[in-house]
Amino acid sequence: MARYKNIKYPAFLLFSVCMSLGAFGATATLTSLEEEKGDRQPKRACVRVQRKQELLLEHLPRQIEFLKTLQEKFKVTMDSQREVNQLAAFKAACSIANLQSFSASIQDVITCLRDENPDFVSIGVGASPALKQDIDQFVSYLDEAGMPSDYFKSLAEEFQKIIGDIPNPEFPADSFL
Amino acid sequence: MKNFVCLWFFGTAFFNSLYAAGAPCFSYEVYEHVNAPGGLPMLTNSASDNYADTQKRLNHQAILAGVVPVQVRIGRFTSMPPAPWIVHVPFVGLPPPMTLPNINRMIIRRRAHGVAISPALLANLAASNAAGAITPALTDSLRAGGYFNNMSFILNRLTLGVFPFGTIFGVPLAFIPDSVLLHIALPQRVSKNLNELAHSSLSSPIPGAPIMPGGVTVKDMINAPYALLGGIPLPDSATVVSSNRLQ
Repeated sequence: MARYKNIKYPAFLLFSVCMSLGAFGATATLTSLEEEKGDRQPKRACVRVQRKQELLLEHLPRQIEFLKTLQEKFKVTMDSQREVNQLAAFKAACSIANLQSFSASIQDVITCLRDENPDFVSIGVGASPALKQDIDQFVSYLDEAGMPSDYFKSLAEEFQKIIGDIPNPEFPADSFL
Repeated sequence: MKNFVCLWFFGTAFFNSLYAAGAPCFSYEVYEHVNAPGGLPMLTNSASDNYADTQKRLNHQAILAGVVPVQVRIGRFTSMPPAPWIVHVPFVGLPPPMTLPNINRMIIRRRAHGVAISPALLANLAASNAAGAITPALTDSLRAGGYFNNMSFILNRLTLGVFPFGTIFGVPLAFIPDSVLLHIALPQRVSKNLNELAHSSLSSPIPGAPIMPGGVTVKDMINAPYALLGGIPLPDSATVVSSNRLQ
């Protein structure tokens, strides 16, 4: 009993310091992670990821190539309008910039797919369905601008076939609370 | 001694929650879009040259009165007469549903911007991808990392959004602007993602590169058309964040 009394207040002090530093929250997160590590990456999922990785690495550069040809077209407009109509030239430059950032976004996924770390490869594969939303949006911009979109639409259909079976679960509403 | 320990215990236990809530008053923070070391001179992008404090406050009031969290304002202030602000609201309505692929993409973008990502989060995300389902551990990690914060959604839509041809963040152009201002107004605490915003307010870390092949930041997106066209100075630009609970 005497020993209990000796450690009671230091224990209280230690506990309150830990509370103020948020140490217990961090421990909880790590524990959850450790629990999951045991059954991570089952064999079948690994094979599926490898197959998707190959397909995406073959397909996504073709999308970037198409975006580059469009950039070239806008570059011709920009150069021809530079002295005549600077605003038109600037708008063409904006179009190139928007295409570049779309390309860069696809390129980031490719970089992830080429990573040596299998976690990043799985993140690259897992991110692919999210690109589809942008691709559909981009097709609508092509149509609005009256630009030829048939080739890109066929690429979009091909892409859909690759990513169609990649899970796309939505976070439950209570996640955001 | 006993009383002191009890007081300290209760004091420290509640200190964090009181501090996190912040004072319920209006405040704001500004991130100027400055260049990375070795890049273009900072002066060309100094927002403080053009936007007086009173102007920023004026803009904030206009935003807080509305319900739209993001506005893009372009203007021309270095010529006479100055062109007025053209205000564009890029994100009307709710963001698209947050899915596992969207989170994967957000992680890729953050990584490309040089934001450090927790190894625990990466492992939890890989595990979720392998299982094809969202695990509670992933949700916890994302919540802790501020990924479910509105500011995070906004940055995601700004930097990953596909914008129409001939526009800056979707703003149709009637003139070449020399000033670009992004306003983000949120009623809740936003401190979680200010670090990420700071990363996105920097230009490409590759000196002299107009736009980097990956990890295009907000700053890169603003500067790119100017660098591409050449012969005109880069615009003054800034991202203004307003919130009534900044820490």
